[in-house]
Amino acid sequence: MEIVGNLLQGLSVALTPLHLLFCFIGVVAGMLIGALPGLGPSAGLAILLPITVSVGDPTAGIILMAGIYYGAMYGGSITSVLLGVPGDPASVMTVADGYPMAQQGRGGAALGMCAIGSFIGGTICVILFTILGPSLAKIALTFGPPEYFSLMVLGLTLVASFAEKTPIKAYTAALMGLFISTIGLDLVTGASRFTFNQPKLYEGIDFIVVALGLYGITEILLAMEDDALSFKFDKKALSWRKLLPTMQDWALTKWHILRSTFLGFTVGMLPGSGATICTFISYAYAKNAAPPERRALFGKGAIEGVTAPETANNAASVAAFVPLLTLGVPGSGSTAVMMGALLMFGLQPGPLLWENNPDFIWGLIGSMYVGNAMLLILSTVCIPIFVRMLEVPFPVLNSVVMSIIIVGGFSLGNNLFDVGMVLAFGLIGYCLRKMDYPAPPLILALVLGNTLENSLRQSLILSSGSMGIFFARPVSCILMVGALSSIAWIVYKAVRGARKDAAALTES
Amino acid sequence: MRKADIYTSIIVMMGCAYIFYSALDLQYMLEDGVPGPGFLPIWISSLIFFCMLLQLILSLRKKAEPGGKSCFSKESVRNALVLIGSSAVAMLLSHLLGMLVCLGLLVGYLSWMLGMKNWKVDVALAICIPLIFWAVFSVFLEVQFIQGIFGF
Repeated sequence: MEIVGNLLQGLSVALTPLHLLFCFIGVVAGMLIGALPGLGPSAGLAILLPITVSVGDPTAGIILMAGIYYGAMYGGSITSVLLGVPGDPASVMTVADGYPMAQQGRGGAALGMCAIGSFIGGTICVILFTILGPSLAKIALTFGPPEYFSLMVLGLTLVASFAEKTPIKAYTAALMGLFISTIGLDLVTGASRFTFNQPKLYEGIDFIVVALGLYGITEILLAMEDDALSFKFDKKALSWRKLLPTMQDWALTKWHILRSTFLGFTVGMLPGSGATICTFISYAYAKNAAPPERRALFGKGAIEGVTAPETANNAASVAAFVPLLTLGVPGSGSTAVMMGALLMFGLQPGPLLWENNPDFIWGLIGSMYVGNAMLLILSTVCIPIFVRMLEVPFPVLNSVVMSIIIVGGFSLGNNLFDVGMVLAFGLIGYCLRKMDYPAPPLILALVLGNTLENSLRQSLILSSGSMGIFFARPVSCILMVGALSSIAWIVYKAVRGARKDAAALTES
Repeated sequence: MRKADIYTSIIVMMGCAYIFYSALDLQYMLEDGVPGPGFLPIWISSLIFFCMLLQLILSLRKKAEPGGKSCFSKESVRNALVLIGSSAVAMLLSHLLGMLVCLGLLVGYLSWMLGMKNWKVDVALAICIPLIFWAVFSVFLEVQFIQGIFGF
């Protein structure tokens, strides 16, 4: 009953005109951001972060960001289906069947099922979060500094481990993020670290500065490599009637929607897994679970192949809030950006947030219900309008986004030093991305850096300097073993790959 | 990519050596075995050095791809120079011309350079975007932009 009471209180917060307006703006902006190739949820959140922080009201700010986040998670499907161009990595699997459907004149039905799948997946996951969140937060309250340190190490190693192609580079990126977080005055001794006698660096490098450069400018530079100047859509296939699925579509997809919801929620909660992996697993699962005659249609325009990954995508985006709000540890680049925003509002994400700021937490949860409903309405009724908006030429869009990034960087401290740092990190981020160094581990490590160092210090004070404390306490030990296992797994795979390569060379 | 990986590994390893050396000036441990300000930088630089050493070895063991593409094309370098360079110049000029004026000029110039060869659109952007920024940031969010010789 307590949960129901809290939820009603949260809904009353979310349904105030101001919060509804912010939720609407967030969802609309998110859908546009997600639809534009290059600008994914992380980049969108990073670019709009200074504006969000300037709003001043933490609840309104986080509602806006949450709206952008799940709006962007859906938005990626628009161009995936209509043009075969995924708006973000989590929409890659949608292209496989969505684009063939659009070529067969069923683009509207594919988008309609994406919207409905996203709505059902998102809403069920918010209900699960509503039920599980308070219990998980209570468990997290028993965590001490060693558990937190181990949890953060696990989060960082998992994020890096999921970079299948280049794990060494992913670990390096995470370590770079940790290093950047050490710049500035040491919190305990006051010693200055790597500040080069620049007073502006004494407070450290602002996380937003790095996020704006690494996500915002880098994404613009990557988008500029594409020669296309604008999108052209076939608007005839997108009338409102054609967006509604048929009874046959429903019959084919209903169980896939449910399965993908639970799959997205379970996998999406794990630190580092992210929505992209969920979409791949859910697509593969949908294909295997389909009867042979339907399985043959996967990749050629099967509606199950569109619905399953899109449902998992939105389910995972809601699930990503679970570790952030209950444990205070973000599991992905996007939630790391949101954690940064919360810290800037003076809120420490984690179990205490549920006790100290119930209005904020339950307001956010309430807004998730409202936001999902808004997303469904906007993504069915307003698709033709969105498509028209997406026809803005890329040069115009990129130049405007660049100016927003500059103003965003300037507004942090009203100085040009921050803008210079944004530009520098943009250039660094571009070089790193071109060389396959992933950005999420760096951002995650940067956001967690100070907390990780504090937890390490507090743990070692408790144990009088013995590192054994991380293995002496059961929860911490399990988490630390998990972190070490993920590293060991990567090393094992690398050695096995090297042996295979060597064997192939010998044979040839 | 192979060459780029080799050069990057070497450059990053040199950076790590510098960080390690600088961190030696900081206290490694405080009393009772509590890590000092130098603890993390020393460990982080060592670990990055180790990762980059591994990357270097892997890259050196890889065969050079004949006709392999460089990860930075001329076009991508030009794009980066146009975007970052023009933004930097615009910001440097903002004490003289005012930030909003510079932003307008920047948006118009970038739009033209990136392919929108319709001067009416570019001029419209150069005028409208600063006005929107003024309304959103100056009026609504109370951000104080740098003023120039025009007084705004």
